[in-house]
Amino acid sequence: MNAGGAATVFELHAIGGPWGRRLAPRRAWLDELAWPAGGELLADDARAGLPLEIARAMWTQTAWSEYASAAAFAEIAAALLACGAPIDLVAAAGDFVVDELVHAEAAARVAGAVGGAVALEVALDRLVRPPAARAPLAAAAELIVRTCCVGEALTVPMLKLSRQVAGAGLIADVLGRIVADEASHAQLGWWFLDWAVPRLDDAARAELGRVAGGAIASFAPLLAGGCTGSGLGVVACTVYDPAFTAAVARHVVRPLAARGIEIPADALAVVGAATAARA
Amino acid sequence: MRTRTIMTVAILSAGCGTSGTTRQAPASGPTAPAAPATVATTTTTAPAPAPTTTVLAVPAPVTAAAAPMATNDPAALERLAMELREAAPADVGARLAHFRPLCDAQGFPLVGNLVTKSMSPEAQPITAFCADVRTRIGR
Repeated sequence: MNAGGAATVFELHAIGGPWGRRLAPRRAWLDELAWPAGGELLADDARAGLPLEIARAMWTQTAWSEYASAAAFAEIAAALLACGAPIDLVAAAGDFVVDELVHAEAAARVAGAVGGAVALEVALDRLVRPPAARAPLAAAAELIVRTCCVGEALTVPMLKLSRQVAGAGLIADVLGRIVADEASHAQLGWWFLDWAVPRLDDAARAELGRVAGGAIASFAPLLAGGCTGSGLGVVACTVYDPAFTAAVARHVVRPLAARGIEIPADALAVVGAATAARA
Repeated sequence: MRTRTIMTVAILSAGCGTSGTTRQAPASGPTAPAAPATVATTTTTAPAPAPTTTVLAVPAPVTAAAAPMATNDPAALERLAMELREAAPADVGARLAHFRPLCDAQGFPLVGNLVTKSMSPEAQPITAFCADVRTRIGR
């Protein structure tokens, strides 16, 4: 992968040697899956008529999302250290970087199995949105609310849905493993808030509500546009959109509200979740 | 030192190539870390580019990407937006060539992994373009 500030085509490399052996136990499950033989693609009956181009784009973007999540947890680990968070939370955040990198490799290999990755231009200097807050605790809370309490909390139900409609054993297996990891990634957010919220004042909690609302609203473009069918891990919009709206209410709005963090209604309305949140 | 390529984008002569699955053997055994260079006269030689073996060969049916717009001029950005509103989706895709990931209003990746939604081929270039505009204007 190229370093630097300009947009670059997304690539992943590994250097092997002692570093490969160190990582081996964490990524061993990848090699145990039933990958297609060299050069072959997943069977047509797993596609259910879905154009391969869509699956290629989706799995390439998934690999990028996982890579960006690795960067987010690296930032979170540093922020937790800076605010004196419990060390087991810090250790978990650091460990999640490894999870996300293995997920990135898994998604990359699925992209290969459905025809190869697309040329995805990415900006490596814009991996993680920096927190606006300067105070260490508020900065950590901002990163964690955005990443764990919104991103990872929504990822779990949506990847479960993706697994249900995968239509292929290999992809279902990959998604199942990723979901199992992401569940604990979301949980870190709630455990952190239970520790941190008593240390935050009303203004800080209100700001966290706005942070969560902004993160949710950023998904609005995902809910627009046309759509094809489901398969190979891709979810049809007729299934995806209502599930997303329900997930926002159940997995983000309510758990945050239970901790005194309210998301502004206008942010929820952008993704059609305002009504669901009140239900 | 060799690196193992997990995912790369190869420009192939045809748009329907297949994936390679060659896995490279681990690099040669660990070596002692080099001592930091603390003497100004130390001669250093730039290492040769690390050879890579492709684990995941990927076809990339793309054309050259458009040059980035190096301006924050609102008028220029408005002209760009006007051009793209008027352009057919296929034309937009041909000009921008590469995909761009969805991003937030500041150009950062969306948090989590929520990109499993199916999007029609017609919608895809437009979506990619929206992200591209955000990136170009640095927001």
